[in-house]
Amino acid sequence: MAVLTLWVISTLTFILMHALPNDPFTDPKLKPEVKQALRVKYGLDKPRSEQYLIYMKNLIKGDLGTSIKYPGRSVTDMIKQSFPKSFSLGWRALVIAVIFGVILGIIAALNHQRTWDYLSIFIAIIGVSIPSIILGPILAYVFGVKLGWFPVTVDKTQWSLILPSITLALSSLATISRLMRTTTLEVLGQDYISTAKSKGLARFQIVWKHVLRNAIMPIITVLGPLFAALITGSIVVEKIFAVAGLGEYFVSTITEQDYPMIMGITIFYATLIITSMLAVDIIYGLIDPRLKISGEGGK
Amino acid sequence: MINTQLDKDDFRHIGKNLKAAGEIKRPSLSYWKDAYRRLKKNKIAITSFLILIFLILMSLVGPIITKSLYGHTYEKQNLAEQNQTPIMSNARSISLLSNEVFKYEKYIPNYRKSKVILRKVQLQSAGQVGFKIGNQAEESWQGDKKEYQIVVDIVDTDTWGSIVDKLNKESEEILAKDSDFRGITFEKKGSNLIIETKGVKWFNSKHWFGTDEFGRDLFTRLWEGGRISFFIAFISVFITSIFGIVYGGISGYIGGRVDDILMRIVEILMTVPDMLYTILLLTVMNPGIKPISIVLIVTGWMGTARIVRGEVMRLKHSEYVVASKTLGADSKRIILKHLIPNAMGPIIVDMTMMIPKMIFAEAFLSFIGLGVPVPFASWGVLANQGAKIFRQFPHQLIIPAIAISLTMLAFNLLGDGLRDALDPRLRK
Repeated sequence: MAVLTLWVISTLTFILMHALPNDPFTDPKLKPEVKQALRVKYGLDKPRSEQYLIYMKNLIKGDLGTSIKYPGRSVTDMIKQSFPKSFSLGWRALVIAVIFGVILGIIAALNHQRTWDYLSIFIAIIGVSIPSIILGPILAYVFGVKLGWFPVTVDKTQWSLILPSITLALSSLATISRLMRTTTLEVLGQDYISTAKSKGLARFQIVWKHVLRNAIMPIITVLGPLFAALITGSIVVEKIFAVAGLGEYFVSTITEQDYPMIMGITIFYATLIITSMLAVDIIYGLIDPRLKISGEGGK
Repeated sequence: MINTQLDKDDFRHIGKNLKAAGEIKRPSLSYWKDAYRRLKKNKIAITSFLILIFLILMSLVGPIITKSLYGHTYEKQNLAEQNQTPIMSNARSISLLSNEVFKYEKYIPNYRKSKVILRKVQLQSAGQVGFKIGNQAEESWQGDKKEYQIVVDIVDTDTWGSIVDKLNKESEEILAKDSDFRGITFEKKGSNLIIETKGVKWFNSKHWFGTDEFGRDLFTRLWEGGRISFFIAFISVFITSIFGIVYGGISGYIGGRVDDILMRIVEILMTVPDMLYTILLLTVMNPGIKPISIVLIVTGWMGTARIVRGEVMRLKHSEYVVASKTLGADSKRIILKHLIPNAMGPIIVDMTMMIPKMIFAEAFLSFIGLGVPVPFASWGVLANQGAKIFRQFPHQLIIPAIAISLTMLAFNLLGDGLRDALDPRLRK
């Protein structure tokens, strides 16, 4: 399934990129011979079907082609160089979103229909309603410029990554806390919680051992889509906070119409998202014993 | 005292009234009436609904109001009125001209630079200190474009008190000569030096929400942008839903192998990260209102199709559909009379929840430069422009930001309310 999806994606990307109204060598200053030579160099003179075959062959080898805008640099190199920065932002955001989302959701459910509950619902709604393109500049202004607590742009320090990570995390945090609240409420209504209570277990133990473990399961299933949201979100956040990551390159390659770059990065992103979704599915199967039992029973 | 003893004679047999027992006393509540009754009780949802009505109405009439009053249009530029704020002030800006006297750790201007705080100042040596008041490049919106300078000589015996006195005295002298100067105050508070220019504030009666960097009226642009954003969101949600209903309906109603194939396609397409493809598709087409709508439709219909298929699958096997089938109803009647009306609830909720997603997607695309082309103003374009000069002129981001956030918030809350009111599975 994952392989099929990847094939669909790479083919779609190929078709889309070649449907572009103009090719990258539209500079009127270029002489026709030079243009032709460039086309030959990048294989754009061959028939489409042949281009497609070459492209697919290279893809399987892991070669995503070379950039047209920055001659001599391969797409893989560009990704290798800029992706770590995006990644360091992405995993921080994911950690923030998961930890705070889960805590917020549990607190809300434990204080059902009291102040904490309403507060967490409020945060969740704010989180989905304020897009990062607005949250980012506002955070940068308030905490970066006015209060001066954090640097406005990302430099080498850990400190500077806090604002972009929060910006990136907020909408996912909201989704997680909302879901966590619902599932925790569901779990709290179960019989085994009443049993645990009547056994005389401490409140903390009930929450830690019984509630959290059961309520957190559905969170794992949304991690895949969340990961995708974080990746696309990072495109915007990197632009706001001037992170020289892959997202920013992606936007600039689009305006520069750098075919191989756009294709390469899209396929890279897509592969990342799909493999992470696959990984989430596998992890879910490993973690949740109920799935294992029902799976065996089915056979 | 009241006699509590009851006799058998006190009771009278009035006979059975079979007719009354069969009568329906209250009007029967249809599904929609029932849903409306429940929605009405939900104050948050109703408030959101009213806010949305207000925003949509303003988008329709807002540009007309300012056009008839002042002749503003969304694309008319007026370079003499660049970057005006909703609350105007004629306080001038301040900047350091020369400084040999003191060190400071931080220089914090407010956004119009009419108030500057120098943090942790320390006296260094004797010499000259000077400030520039008013900067032609920054003050186009004030009109008079005058520049002034305050320069004082500081000697070794001066303390902070005498330096501040000297500066204030100098400024009073300039003010006495030229009242256009409007005044400036220097103040030492703790280890900070606070400098503030004087000025009057007044409401910008010609441009209610100020202007942007090209002097275009932001009130007009905001509501014009609302038209575009709402239009893109509504049209794409509408077409998405129709396509989703047809696709999901066919898949669910026919079932079997057709369902397998159609749903497999949806599954594959759903794993494709939609934002990436929105970007790719838009690079292929030239940016504009139509391409954005098309792209949002192409990447957004799968969710609706799934929901509709699920609903149709569920309803297909319900008792009343089976009953109607046994009574000889044809497919057309079943689909039009039973399936569509009953699946409408979840579809409407889905549509309501999809609108803020579309508005967000449009804003996102505008932000990375794939939005509607230049003279047009969608909310995303406005937010993008505002974000660029947010530090100098925060209103240019805050106003569209409030519009976007309020719309998304209201649609989300209304969607929640509608789900509670319409979704029969949540009924208790």
